Amino acid sequence: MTTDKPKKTSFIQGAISAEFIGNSIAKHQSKTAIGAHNIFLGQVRADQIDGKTVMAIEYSAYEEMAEQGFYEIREAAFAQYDLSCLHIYHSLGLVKTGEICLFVFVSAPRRKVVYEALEYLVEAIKEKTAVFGKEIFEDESYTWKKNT
Amino acid sequence: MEITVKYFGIIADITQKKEELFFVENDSNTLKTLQSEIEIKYPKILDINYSVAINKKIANRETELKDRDEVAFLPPFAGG
Repeated sequence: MTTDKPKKTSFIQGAISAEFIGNSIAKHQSKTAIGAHNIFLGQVRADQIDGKTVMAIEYSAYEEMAEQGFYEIREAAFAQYDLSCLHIYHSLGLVKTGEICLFVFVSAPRRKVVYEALEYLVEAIKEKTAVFGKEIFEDESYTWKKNT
Repeated sequence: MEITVKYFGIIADITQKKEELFFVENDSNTLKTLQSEIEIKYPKILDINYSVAINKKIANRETELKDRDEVAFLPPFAGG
């Protein structure tokens, strides 16, 4: 019996750059069966908490478990939706407010499925992957992020 | 049984460490005994709505524990 192992890593050190996202889109030009892409970008928000402003989030993870989680979510999405491909990238380490920390990219021959698949993926990532975020304020104090 | 326990996020703040070794009696073959021992050692983790994984799979107090398993104490996930 073989166990399912994550085939690739979804974690990126630091913020996800516009260049990385652009290159990722460009790589799909050769896949001409695709007729629709949909992209979710999570951006670090300058939340106000008890009068202090968040300046950055420092992400950490139980990496092996989270990678397994990304893999299972990816497999479940392929089983459920008629997708050509999908990609998940999540930041680790420090990401400043205004920078991108989550990039989810789905592609399919036709458009309807990409709306549903993307929502399914983003919600599953937030609920099921062992990722944690330390919200760091201007004065270097911090609180632990809670997903709502 | 020798069990590696890992702590993450706010739980690692409470324990002041990311990892430690526990030795559990062989007749305690579920997670229950170890989990109670850790809750007594670090009572503040009871304020956290935490989950526990054994070898990277979510477990509960009745889940079987074996020698050299890796147990993780995980605060609520906050990805994205």
